[in-house]
Amino acid sequence: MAAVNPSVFLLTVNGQIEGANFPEYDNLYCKYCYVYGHDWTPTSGLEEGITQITCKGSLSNNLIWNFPLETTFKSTSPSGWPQLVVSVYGPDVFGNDVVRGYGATHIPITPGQHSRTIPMFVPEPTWRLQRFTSWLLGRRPEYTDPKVVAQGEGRGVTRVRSQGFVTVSFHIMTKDMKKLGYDTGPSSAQPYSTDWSAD
Amino acid sequence: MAEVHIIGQIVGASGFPETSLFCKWGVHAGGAWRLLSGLKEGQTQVDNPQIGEMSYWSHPIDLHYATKGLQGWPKIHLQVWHQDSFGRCQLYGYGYCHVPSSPGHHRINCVTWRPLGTWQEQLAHTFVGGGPQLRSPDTIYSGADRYRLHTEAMGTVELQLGVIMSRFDKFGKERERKRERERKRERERKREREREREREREREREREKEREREARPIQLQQANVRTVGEAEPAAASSMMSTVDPTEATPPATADTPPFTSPAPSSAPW
Repeated sequence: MAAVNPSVFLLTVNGQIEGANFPEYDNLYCKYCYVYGHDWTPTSGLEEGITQITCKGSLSNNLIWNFPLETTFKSTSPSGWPQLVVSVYGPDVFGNDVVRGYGATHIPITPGQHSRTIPMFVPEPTWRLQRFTSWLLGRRPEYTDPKVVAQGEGRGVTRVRSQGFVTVSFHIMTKDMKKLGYDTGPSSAQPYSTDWSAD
Repeated sequence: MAEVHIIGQIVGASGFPETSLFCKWGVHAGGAWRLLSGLKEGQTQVDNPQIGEMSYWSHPIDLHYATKGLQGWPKIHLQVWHQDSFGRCQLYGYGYCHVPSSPGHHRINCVTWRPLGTWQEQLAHTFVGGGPQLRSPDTIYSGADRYRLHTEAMGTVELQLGVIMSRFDKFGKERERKRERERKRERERKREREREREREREREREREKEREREARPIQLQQANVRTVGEAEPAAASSMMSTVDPTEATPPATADTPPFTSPAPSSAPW
């Protein structure tokens, strides 16, 4: 039932959280969620999830999750384009579950296949003494709401330490963006152009 | 109006003498551009990387501009600062880059520079830090007063920007149509004014005729008084001749004339 004059366009995200690269930590799991503006609504798929706990293989230093992402959004305007917010957790020396990194990236805007490497950072205590006590007690500074990572305001005075990367791959499809007049440029150079908008 | 969406992030910076960097950024656009949503300036977090030497900020940018013209395409200007363990901040570089003007995903490496002072200031800088800063941030993205500066090269800032453009193809046609409508309205107004003047003239003529008509009856009445007096003897003589030819005295002067209406040559009412 394609409308003659559509008022919304669709964005389909198919992809996976492939894995992570944290030189100093092991046995990590990852939580993800989407942050988007007022004009956007998810129409299908999960908005958040948790991966399994993984450890480094014997031959490589990589951590692999291979976790599926399948979500579709609809919107009237590209403002507030969805972002994928990823948080990685793992055990510390004493067995407490502590945060190892937060990161966020925009969903790619062009249809096609994309790969993103998201740098992960943790908030850092300002004093060295505080750093030692938090290591001892297992109570690291955390964000109360990981979605803060996707916003620009209020970050100006925070100190963080980046300590790893998460690799995510996306296959993006859009529908009716051209009909609404939005030009997102050429699809990424792959043999299959996955923009199935009926133009 | 054409619209541009800028969706992306300031990824991070590398190539600077120290890590533990943050960035103050802003977007500057010309007068014809209007920001519809999003923040056009901000400050990133301070990142002290544990691996490698690149500081990562992943600071999101989501801007929605509407524009009437291509002049003044938006530019992102950056100031990279270093914060040491004591919380003191020091300028590490200025840089700017244009927002890409083609839709799609772009990776941009923005180069930065730092102003140099005199040799005494440079010496003090190596020991104490600090250093000269620009008085006004406009110089970062304008070339007006750059010739006065002596600068040194610093590292690069990496940005990933996605640009979505809309209604740029209809842009020129819309302006043409607008101008056409304007001209049409002008012609309409002109014709209206012409008709107004015509009506004014008509009304003037009407009033003139009114005044003439009002003036004429007075003249005609005055004329009637004279003509009626002259006509009486003729009537009397005619009456005498018909009724009694033998009587000789004319009774006209004793009798009031039967009619007081004006003379037959009356004005057309």
